[in-house]
Order: sequence, then C-alpha cells, then structure tokens
Amino acid sequence: MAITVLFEGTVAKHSESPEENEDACRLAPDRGRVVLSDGASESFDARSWARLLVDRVIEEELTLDVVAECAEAYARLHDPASMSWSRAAAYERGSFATLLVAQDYPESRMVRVAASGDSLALWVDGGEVLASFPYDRSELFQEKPVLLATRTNLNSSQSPAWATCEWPYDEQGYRFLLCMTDALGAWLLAHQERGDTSALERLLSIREPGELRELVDQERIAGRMRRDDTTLVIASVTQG
Amino acid sequence: MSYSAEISRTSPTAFLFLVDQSGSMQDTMENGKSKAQFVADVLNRTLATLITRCTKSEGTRDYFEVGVLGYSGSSVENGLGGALSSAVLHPISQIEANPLRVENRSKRVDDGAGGLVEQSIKFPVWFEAKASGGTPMCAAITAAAEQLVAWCDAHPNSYPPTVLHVTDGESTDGDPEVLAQQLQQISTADGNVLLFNLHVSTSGGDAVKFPTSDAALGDAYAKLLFRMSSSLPPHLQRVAEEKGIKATMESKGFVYNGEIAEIVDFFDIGTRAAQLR
Repeated sequence: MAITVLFEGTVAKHSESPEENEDACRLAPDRGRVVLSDGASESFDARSWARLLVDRVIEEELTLDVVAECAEAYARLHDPASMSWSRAAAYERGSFATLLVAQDYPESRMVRVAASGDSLALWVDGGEVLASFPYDRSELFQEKPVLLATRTNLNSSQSPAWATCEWPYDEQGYRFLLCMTDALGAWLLAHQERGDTSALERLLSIREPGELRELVDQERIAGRMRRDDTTLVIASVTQG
Repeated sequence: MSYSAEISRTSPTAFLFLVDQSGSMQDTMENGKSKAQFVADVLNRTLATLITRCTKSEGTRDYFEVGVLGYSGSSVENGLGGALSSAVLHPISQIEANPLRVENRSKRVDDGAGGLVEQSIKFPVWFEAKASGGTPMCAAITAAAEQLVAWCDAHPNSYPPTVLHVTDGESTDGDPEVLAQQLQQISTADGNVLLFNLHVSTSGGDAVKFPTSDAALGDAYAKLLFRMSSSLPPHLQRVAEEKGIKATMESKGFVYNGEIAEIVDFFDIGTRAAQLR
C-alpha cells in the first residue's frame, strides 16, 4: 500500500500565541512514515525537545540511543550556568514530550505504531474505527503519561519507554490512519464510546487548516474539548 | 463547583500562605530546628517549587498569584518584604523576581554510579524565620478572607484560591474554627476556597498527611486544625493517590509535621510527565 497525506494541521492552545505551540510533526509519505510529538507544557523547553525528536525520528528508527542523542542536541541549546536560579531549576527538571511513530511496511502488509505518551493513532476502515493506540478509552487521557525526557535516566528507568502495535491490512482495500495529540484524541474516543460517530465523520472530512481550527474553537467553547495545542494528521493507506 | 477551571495565564488561581510567627514557634522540634525555622524553610522551598513549575525557557508564566500573611503579637502583616511589601497577592513572576536573597547551598545527589556527590544549588529566600508574641489566628483568618473575597470578585470564573495555613495551633485571640468555615464559603463559580493546615509540633511522631479522622492525632490543637481543614475534593484525592499518598473522600487537607512542597503539585497547569510525580 501507499500512504497519501490528506491533511496535516495544528491549532495552538492560545490562538493569539501560535509561536508557543509545542506540538511538532514530520511526514515522509514516500517512505510511509508519520512522526508526531506533543511537548508537555510543564517543561522548560518542550517545543525544542519535540522538534528535535521528530526531526531525528523521521529519518531513523526510534531507539534509546537516538533519544539520547536528541537529548545531547537539546543540551547544546542551553547553558544552565548562565541562567537565573529559576530557569536553572526548571532546566534541571527537564523537558518532556510524547512521540508517536507510524510506519507502513508494504512488504509485510502492516502499519507499525510506536507510542510514548498519550498522542493517539487510529486505524479506520471507512467510517469504522478498527483500532486505536496507545489508548482505547477516553478516561485514560486523565492519567499522567510517561513521556520521553531530556533527562535520559528517566527514559531508561521506564520499561519499555514506548509501546508498539501492528495493524495488518489486506492487499485490497482502503484504510485511514489518523494521528493526533491528546485533546483531540480524548474528544474523539469519548464520542465513540457513546456510539456517536459524528466526531469521527467530522475529523475524516477535514482537508483545510481552517476546518480544524473551526472544530477546535467550537468544541473548546462548548467545554467538550480541553484547551491544549492540537494537531491532526490524516493519511490514507491504499493499494499501491 | 467542580474545580475544573483551566489554570492559565488568562485565568490564574491564587495561593495564600498564612504563617504563624508567634513566640511559641521558637520551640525546638525533634529535627533540631525551631518550628519557625522549619516553617521558613518549608515556605521558601514551596515557593521555589511553585515557581519552577511555572518557569519555561522564556521566563516565568503567571499561572498563580501568590501571597503570604504572617501573624504574631496582635497583628497580621504582609509576610513578604522589599518590592513585594506593597500588596499581599502578586503574580508569581513578581515573586520570582524579588527574593530577599539567593543563597548558595549544597545538596547531595546521586552520582549515577551508586554514590553521592555534593552539588551546588541556588536557594532563594523570601521569608525569614520569626517568632515573637501572641498568636492572633482569628485576625489572620479574617485578613485572609478579606484578601480572597476581593480576589474572587476580580476572578469570578477562576479555579478558587487555596490557603495554606502553617501553625502550631495555639490561637490566642479566640476560637478560629467558625472563621475557618466562613473562609471556606468564599468561592468562585468553579468552587469554594480550600483550606489546608500544616500543624508543626514539638510532640514528635510520624508525619501524617491527609488523614480521614483525628483519631491518631495527639493533641487538641491538631484535632482543631483537622476540623478546620477542607475535605479533599475528588480531583485532589486523585492527585494524592498518584503521589502515593492514601486519600479517600473522607480525607482532610491536614498535614502533621510533614513536607508540603508537594502540595503545589496539586494544581494542573498543563501536561506533566508521570516521571515528575
């Protein structure tokens, strides 16, 4: 099969400060790869950390060594010795981010997903959700996620640092792969649990950034979606 | 009344410390420190933790407004000095910018090879140990209420303020229990003011956190402070459980001779990694 990116877009937590958006995404549809990261807001410099991770992992397999090298690159961005006491303390605490990697393996007829944290991948056939990963219930988004950390001892102490799943497909057919950050994932799964497919239908119809922005604004105002940086990738996986 | 309001720079919450500085705070605790010194260390460490949580590479974000009221003799005063003496509650970035001094201290940390090494750290000080005169606890709670009524009027939809009261419990201006109940009636649309009490005592014994009854509490002062404390709402029970502290719907926001810096972790200001528990 081949991956075609139908949509990629993001909406910042605060629309007046798009530069503070700490989500990061890189796509390589020719290589069947989607990489998404959500920098944790309670972090010293989660934006840089998320970007370093996606920039590296779009090119290479996700390994602890690769994460450690990203942490070294992160350390080169900062000089704690020249910081104020508060910045030095916050730097010492570290930066944290999710990482979601979806990779198509056409020869094996499957998509493999690796996930650290609470960014969500969905595997959809027409209007039916076949699977979601790493969460399958909206309540799980209330838990504090284990994330990839710039303090690498916090990664190796988690076992494993990420989970994987595989979604096989037939040679014939048509699937959607959706990757999204947590606020959107929680909102979508909550709808699905109620048997309400309208959220999925609306997401699948999005093709323009303004459509995602309109949806997110509307749901935030209604109190149905948490205010957070929100990113969505929609890809079709079709017979090549 | 759901305690679900987002805490953000456009909708901050408030954190007011109420600190006993009376003469009885000179007494020495089991750890060798005076109660006043123990309280000063706890307060400075708690402020630093709160600020660290709000600090990013570009600076400290104003998710909180913070103030300190100290009480002793027959008066209640702003517990913060210097540039912070003009008002009681300040955006947390102002607290960050105006410690009395920043001390160089050392702490022992894991060297990664099974040993410990000394590491130099900066320790900001906003609050000095002080102990003299009586314990006008009723006046202090009344002053806190005045501050928080005004704050809630100005922030009607914010997550409600939290009061952290640190004392040895020996009020000298009357029974504070009714006033404490009235303080907890102050509210925003999101919920009532929550009152946590930290009881510092020379009686010793193990630290107690968020007990469900006063049965194990040794003296009348501890029992009084237990009764004065807010019940933990469900969202705080959940956070306490995540931190490995047993909490139920009967748990009260009461701590005996314990560390309270972790209480500032009870406020959700965005995604936090599980590793930071």
